[in-house]
Amino acid sequence: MAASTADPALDIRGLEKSFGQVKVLRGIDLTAHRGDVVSIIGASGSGKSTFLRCINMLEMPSAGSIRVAGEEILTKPGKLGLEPADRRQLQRVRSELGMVFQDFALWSHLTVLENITEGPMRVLGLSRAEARERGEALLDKVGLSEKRDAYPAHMSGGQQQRAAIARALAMEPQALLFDEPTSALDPELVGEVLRVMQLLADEGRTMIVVTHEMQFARNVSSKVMYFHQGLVEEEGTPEQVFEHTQSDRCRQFLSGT
Amino acid sequence: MFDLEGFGHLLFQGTLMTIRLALVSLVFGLMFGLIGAAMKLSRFRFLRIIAGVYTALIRGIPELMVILFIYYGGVILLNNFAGLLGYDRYIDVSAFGAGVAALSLTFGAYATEIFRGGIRAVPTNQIEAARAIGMSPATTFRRILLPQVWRFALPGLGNTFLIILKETALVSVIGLEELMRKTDMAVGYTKEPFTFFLFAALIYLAMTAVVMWVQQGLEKRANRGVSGRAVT
Repeated sequence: MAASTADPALDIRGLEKSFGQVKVLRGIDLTAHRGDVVSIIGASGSGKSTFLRCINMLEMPSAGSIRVAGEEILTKPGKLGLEPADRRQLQRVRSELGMVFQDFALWSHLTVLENITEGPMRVLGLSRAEARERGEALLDKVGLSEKRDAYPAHMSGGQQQRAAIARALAMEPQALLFDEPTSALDPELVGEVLRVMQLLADEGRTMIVVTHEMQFARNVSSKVMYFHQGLVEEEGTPEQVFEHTQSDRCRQFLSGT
Repeated sequence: MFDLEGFGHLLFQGTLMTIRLALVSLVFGLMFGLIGAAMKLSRFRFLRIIAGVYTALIRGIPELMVILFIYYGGVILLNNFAGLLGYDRYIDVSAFGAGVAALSLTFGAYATEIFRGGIRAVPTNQIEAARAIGMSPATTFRRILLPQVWRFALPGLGNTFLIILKETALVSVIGLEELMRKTDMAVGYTKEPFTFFLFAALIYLAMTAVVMWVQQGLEKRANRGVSGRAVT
């Protein structure tokens, strides 16, 4: 509970995940301090999305520990790996981790503004007025003020993803998790989403980004991790990973993209 | 157009009883349907089996027999049970109570399947986004899942309710003085079956028309935000 600003925003130790006999993650460590932008790259099937989904336990890890701002998510052993030991605690920690999905996952029966105010009102207990004020400020930030009363189905993918980012920000999270946020977008819409993400990075937000956008990983990240078959094969600053690549596999992967 | 020979008031009372019976059955039936669907989608085999037996039984037996079973069987069961507890005065089951039980169990059995389909039709990412934001399962159900389930369930529920509304007429066999029975009484006195049955038929038709109109409004609302049918 006693989170202090000295604790890393996110501290993950020895994370493992198996689906049946298949080991998808084989012991991953990650520390993100406040303001760090960590890009995770790697071929599909390397476990990077699964890793991201394990951080807020949308997938339950098989082993390992996760601390958010110093608070460890309580787990206990279960039949298929770990299980949450305290569902309420897990819900609270999840509310401190904003997640942005590849397919946006905006709630289709709610307007953009309602999508953003839902979490603050129903999870954080803000009043409608407070939540709307927060939501309108965020819509302004992501450039969607005029879309506040639109429904997701009536917006472009880029607009939907920016709205989804605003929804995550409305929870004022300790860290933001991005799961291939631009992979489902038409090429001409990728830029508007990346610009918003760049803005967030410049604001000093802590971000974990699973991405195929090598330009973004190179220019915006403070750290890059290359995943291969469930292990971190290479990690370091963008310069270390992109210019002075150590592992052959990583070099091969980078030359292929 | 119709000479009701002073029986208009009787038919009005019957209509009110029919509406009461249908609406109370709808409320309980929706509850049974949601519970049934939750059981069918449960992780626990035991609950799935109970829900399966429930829907198979109710949907497999004629509605009239369900009503008779509950009315006569219910009396026997209740009195035997009360006897076991040392209560030896005769307990009567009201025709209204038995009617509500039979109709709501029937509506619930069909609604179980409709809700089950509706819940499965909501994309999983909608639920995941709610979990990721730290929403509790109860809030997720109420705020995210259920509003979207209506979208898929309302056409089927409206259809089933129309059937139930007309099946209220069957409850007349156990003596409930709803529209059908009151009409029958009027016919008995006046010997004018055509006039009264036609009049009652028009009342049923009017009630179903209102149901369809309400259903349309609800569907429009449930479909808000879905491409092509927006009511923004």
